[in-house]
Amino acid sequence: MSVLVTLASLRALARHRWQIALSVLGIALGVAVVVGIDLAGASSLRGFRLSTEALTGKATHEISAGSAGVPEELFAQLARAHPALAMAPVVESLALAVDEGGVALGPGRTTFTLLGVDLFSEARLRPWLGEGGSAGIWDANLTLLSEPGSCLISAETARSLAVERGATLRLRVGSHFEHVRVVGVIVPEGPRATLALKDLLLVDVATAQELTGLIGRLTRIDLALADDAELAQRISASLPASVSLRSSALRLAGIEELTGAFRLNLRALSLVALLVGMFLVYNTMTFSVVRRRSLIATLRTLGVTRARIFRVIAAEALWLGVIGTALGVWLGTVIARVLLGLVSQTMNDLYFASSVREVHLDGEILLRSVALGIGATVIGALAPAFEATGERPRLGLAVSTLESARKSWIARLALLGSLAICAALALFALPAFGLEASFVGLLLLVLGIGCWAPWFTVRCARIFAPIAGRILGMFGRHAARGIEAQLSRTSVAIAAMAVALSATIGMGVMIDSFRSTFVKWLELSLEGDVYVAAPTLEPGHNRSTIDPKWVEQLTSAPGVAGFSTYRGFATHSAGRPVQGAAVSVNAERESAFEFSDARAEEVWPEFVAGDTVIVSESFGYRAQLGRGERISLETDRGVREFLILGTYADFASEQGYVLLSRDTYGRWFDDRGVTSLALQAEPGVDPDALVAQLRASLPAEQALLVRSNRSIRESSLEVFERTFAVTGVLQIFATLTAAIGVLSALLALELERAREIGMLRALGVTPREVGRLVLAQTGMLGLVAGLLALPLGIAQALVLVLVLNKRSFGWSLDLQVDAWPLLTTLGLSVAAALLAGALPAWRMSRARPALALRGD
Amino acid sequence: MEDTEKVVVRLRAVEKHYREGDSTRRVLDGVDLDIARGEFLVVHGPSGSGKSTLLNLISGIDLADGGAIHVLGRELGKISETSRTLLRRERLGFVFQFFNLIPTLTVGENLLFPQELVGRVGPDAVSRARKLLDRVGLAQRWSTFPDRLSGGEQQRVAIARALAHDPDIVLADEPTGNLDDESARSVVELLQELLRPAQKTLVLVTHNLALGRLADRTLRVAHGKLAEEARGP
Ligand SMILES: Nc1ncnc2c1ncn2[C@@H]1O[C@H](COP(=O)(O)OP(=O)(O)OP(=O)(O)O)[C@@H](O)[C@H]1O
Ligand SMILES: [Mg+2]
Repeated sequence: MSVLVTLASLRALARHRWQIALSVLGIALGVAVVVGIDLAGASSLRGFRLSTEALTGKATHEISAGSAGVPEELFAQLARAHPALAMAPVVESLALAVDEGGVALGPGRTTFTLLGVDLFSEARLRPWLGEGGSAGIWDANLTLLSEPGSCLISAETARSLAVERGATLRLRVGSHFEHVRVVGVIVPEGPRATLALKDLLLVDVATAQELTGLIGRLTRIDLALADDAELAQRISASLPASVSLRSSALRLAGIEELTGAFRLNLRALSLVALLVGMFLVYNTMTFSVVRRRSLIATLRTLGVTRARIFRVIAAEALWLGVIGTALGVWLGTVIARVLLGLVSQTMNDLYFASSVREVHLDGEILLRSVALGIGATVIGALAPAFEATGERPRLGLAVSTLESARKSWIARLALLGSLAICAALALFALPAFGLEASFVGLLLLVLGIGCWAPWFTVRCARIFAPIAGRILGMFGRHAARGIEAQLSRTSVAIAAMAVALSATIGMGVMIDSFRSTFVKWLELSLEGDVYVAAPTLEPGHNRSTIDPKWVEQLTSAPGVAGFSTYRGFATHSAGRPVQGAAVSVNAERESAFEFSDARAEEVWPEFVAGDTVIVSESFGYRAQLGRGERISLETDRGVREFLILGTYADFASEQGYVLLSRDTYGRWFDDRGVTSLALQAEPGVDPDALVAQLRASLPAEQALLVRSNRSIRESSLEVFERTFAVTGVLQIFATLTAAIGVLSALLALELERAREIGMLRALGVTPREVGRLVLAQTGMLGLVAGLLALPLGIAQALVLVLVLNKRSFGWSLDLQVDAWPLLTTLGLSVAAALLAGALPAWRMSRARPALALRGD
Repeated sequence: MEDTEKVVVRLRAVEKHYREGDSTRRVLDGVDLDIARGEFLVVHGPSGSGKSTLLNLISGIDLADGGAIHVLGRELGKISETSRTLLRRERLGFVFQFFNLIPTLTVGENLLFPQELVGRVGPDAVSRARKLLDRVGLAQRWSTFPDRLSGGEQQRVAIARALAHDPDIVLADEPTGNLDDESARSVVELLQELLRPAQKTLVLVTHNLALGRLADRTLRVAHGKLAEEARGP
């Protein structure tokens, strides 16, 4: 008998192929977006991590210092003191292979890591580079060591740059153009070597020092200390104040942490898509249960147990979930390929140089998505499965009639929703909860407002009924009341659509707010008319310096009225990396800062005079530090405490900055470099003309960027738009899923209403009138969904702007809500619903009344 | 057609079959029938014999597979779907076997609906609807939604609605299926009472042979054929 139970159920289900296809598609889309986002994010991070790890080799620790680097002698001293220890000197920088015109070579404008090593030391730390490793390296060793200006590249790199052994490569390192000769092409052996050599230019330490201008200095010394904490302690104690020993893993972790907030934000968006998919499953399963109510009732009277029926329904849901998820995972890998470019670009713009071109199918992500997809499906099907096995199977009319609209479930659901909203508000209000909690809160908020959908739908339908009645007569009233009569179905469609649309509104308002704040900030903070900077290959910060000779020439050039200097540098505070900047202060620069916790008149005099700093908002938020507190920084004279004078708004980087005055910097650091200059044009001098004049005055081997205020502003906005390009793609998917949700709900409605439509047709309502009736109703559905999406979207925007951005980046943005995007969303909602309603409207108008009138 | 005045429905060699897998089921197999203006016709027959099918064909809800059907001078197979629909809207009244009232309209609105379809709105329409509702004894239920009515009450509202737009022919499929003999009889008497004076035609499908006694003519559907029954005592 159990086979027959399943058979009977399946046959009933098979009549609704469309419905099933749509919900499989809905789950698939939801899962696909989640998989796509996760894979793209993880792949771009993984490429970076793997090559860094491969390059780190057996090193567990590194000795490094500030911008000036580690003195070369330190390596020799350490080697003498610890002859048994595996260690190697490293000079590392980023380089770009360019043609004679300075234009980058290679696919996707690859940024190379210029790694200067001492091959004799390497043998113990990175054996793949030394004896017993790739043979090609060893053969070329002597040449590499003896001849300055020579380099090794991998066969893959040689291919992509179309160069051979013996060729000369033109490089841009920092602000200089340099030449190196390719003395060997390495064919790496094994995956590790392949990874390490990817986008690598291997040179001798001395050559690297020459190319980067770090004469007599090293970027770091790599050591393999294993877990000898005592030895680490001893070495650390023996080091001069300007350098320190730290774990290699920390550097990597820092970068992953940085991108964490960005990836989390993307994931939140992708979950919205899955949520909509879940609505779809709920819809399909409820529908399939409703359709089979009489079948189930018959089965029950024949003695089939409730558990058995529950199992049949649950198994169906499971199958839907499995098929939809499988499809979604596949689709997700496709989406990941599309997104990888966008995500990598953002990572490149903001965090680190990476050139990932392939999507890595991370097993953990795939497994997690599979669990998520199937889990969501099963949860979506639970309520209908319970309903199906409920105590008294409802007979008679299959549609939920007006009666159910008066039922208490609306109120109960709304109450549940209110509880969820309260919980969400608590999560936002209490500062003890962090970023993850905010996302849970966001989800709760969305679900909570979604729970109000039935109540809201009933209200709207009652308001619409007389209005529609006046315009369209009995048809209009009928259409409006139908929304209420089939509430269990229409409210699901409305909720699904509203959630998807609200995500669009929320993101849109957030991005608008962000943009307007960002533009305001750009205008305020770009105080110079012309900017000169050494080009940097390190995203997010500028560390290459301008030759002092050119600083002198540029600042005294005709047409320049005044200038201020900027020096970006890296240091550490309590072991954690910190972005620092030394700035010269003048009236223009003073006006470029706005302090949130201090008055400018109080800040500036002390900033120039004492051992004081100002910090950016995001730094202050992360470090939990503000005005009046002290921060310790590693300087060339050892660790020092600095007093924080104030916190200023800054959107240039999400990890934030610690700013020192040029004088303070000079007291504690040896470095005298300048990374950029802000120049004031004399009155009456056109900035663009000044830019052209300054450019012409620079020699060809200098790769300095000279740009006007306006062009910097434009390119900053470009990066801004690029950063949010991913969200655009996600919005499209969310809307697509919503449209599928509406279509699915409408098809369900269509089947439930077949008899009613049949009767209308029998009474003399023409097919065209039926079509109009259905469209009037779907239009109203769209309107209700759009209306619900407005508060839901604004609530999300508030959370994104006021809570999430604060908690992920430490940025406070000014909320900016424009009426126009909201109205557009409302219009979009109605249009999408009408579009989705076209198919059901056409089908219903075509249905033969005789069939519909047969009792079932 | 000279006898349009007298014959409102004419069926000639009408056939209707349904495919069932490989075989076809001949539900109606060459049916001839003339129904005169003002006539009260009762159709009965075993379950599944094709009674509902016959009504569906007459009303143009379904189309015949063979033969010709004339209703009020129009041949249904030769006019468009929209024309058939408009004919139904203006000239026919229907009481269905199962699902009758629009659940989202109140009882009163259900009675206004067919009138609105023919363009009759306003106080006239309302007073006609009220009068009819009063005649079926449900005047108090004007603003009630159908799902609050009993099966018999719903059927009575359906009858009132079938008459609301003043049709020439009323087709009723088992309107009394939910009713006890006594109520069934009074419903049919009510129908007759409302239709007779205006010379309206009534075709009533029923299992209840007793109702045949009220009819002008009784037909029996069996094995795809129509046979006239002798009037009972
Ligand atoms: N759409 C259809 N497809 C297949 N068979 C159909 C269809 N409609 C009706 N039938 C068949 O035609 C036959 C006549 O159906 P109909 O509904 O006219 O019977 P009926 O005389 O009204 O029966 P009842 O007294 O039970 O209402 C039945 O055997 C039925 O199975
Ligand atoms: Mg029948």
